[in-house]
Amino acid sequence: MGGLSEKANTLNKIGNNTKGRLINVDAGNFLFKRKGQFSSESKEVITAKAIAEIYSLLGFDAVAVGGNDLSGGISLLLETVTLGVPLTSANIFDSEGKPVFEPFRRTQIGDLSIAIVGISDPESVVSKDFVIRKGTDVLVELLPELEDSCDLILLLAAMPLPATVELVGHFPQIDIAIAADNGQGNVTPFLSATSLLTQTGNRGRYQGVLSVTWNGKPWGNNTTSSLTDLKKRLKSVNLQLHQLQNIQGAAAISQKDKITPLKDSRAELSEQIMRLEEAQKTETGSSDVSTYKHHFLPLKNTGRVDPQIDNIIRDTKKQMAIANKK
Amino acid sequence: MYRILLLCTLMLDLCVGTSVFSSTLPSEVNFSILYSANVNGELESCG
Repeated sequence: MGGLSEKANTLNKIGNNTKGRLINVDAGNFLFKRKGQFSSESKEVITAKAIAEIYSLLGFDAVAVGGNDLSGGISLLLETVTLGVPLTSANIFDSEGKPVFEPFRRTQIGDLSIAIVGISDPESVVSKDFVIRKGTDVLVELLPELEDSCDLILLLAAMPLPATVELVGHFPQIDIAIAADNGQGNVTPFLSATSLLTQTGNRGRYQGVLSVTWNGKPWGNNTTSSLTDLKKRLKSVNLQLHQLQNIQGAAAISQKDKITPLKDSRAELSEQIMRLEEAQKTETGSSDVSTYKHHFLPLKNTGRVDPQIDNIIRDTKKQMAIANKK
Repeated sequence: MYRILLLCTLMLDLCVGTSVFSSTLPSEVNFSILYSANVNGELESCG
């Protein structure tokens, strides 16, 4: 079994390697494949309940509420919270104007105080049971308060990437934003205004890992890490050139067009490496920027199983088989 | 009274090796964020 069983293994492994200095979050759209209104006996709700139970075992610090997650109704989401899943949304309000979920969660890494704010897509669902207000309307009040009491603000934006880019553009207090755009694959972290923005692709196929060195200063590049990357690329270009230049006879003529651009790349990379090495010599001990590294881990079937989660999946399959016979 | 209190605070700082007047946040903090999105109701997605 891959999927959530594999996710549990991956989270455990990383947790052991990082000695617990980590935050575990999900930006939403985890319970359902699509928006709709599913009855409590439907296969979709049976599956959603199993996912909620599994999520309660994965040690999340915060999980945002996506438009798809509302397809089983607010009551299913409140059951999910009761199970122990820390659902977070600052802009979903009930018919009396009270917040339905915790607007943010606090967590601590050593002395670093972190606020995780959830925002749901106001365009996603219309219901008489709840109202989703515009993200900007709630964040304009919430973020100045959090800024005073937290060192870092992480936004879980259960909304499309362009809307997330627009939202973070209004709020320089947001340091990191994780989106949940169903139409996007993995998005390599990029700087949007002053925030670092990223997301993983759909169907839970990847686990995103962002390793952060935070000093409260704006995001920037780590010279050492950039140098390592450039040197790897130069090595690869040199290898390709070496192979092309060793081709003999008629085939060598057809490879000539490939050699020139590779030589240009080699010259450019060498120059970049030289510039960075010069810059490194003049750097002082303390860095002027906060830095990060990232990778996306594919959650493939490796054969390693999590017995507790596999039991939940097996039971769910039995329930679905019974539901199919009815 | 105020001076006595200030003196006591400074002496305590010297004993503990920190200062109440300095920021408690260390200069650099390393940590990892594990993140996902759009699991889309998949229990067993296999790439």
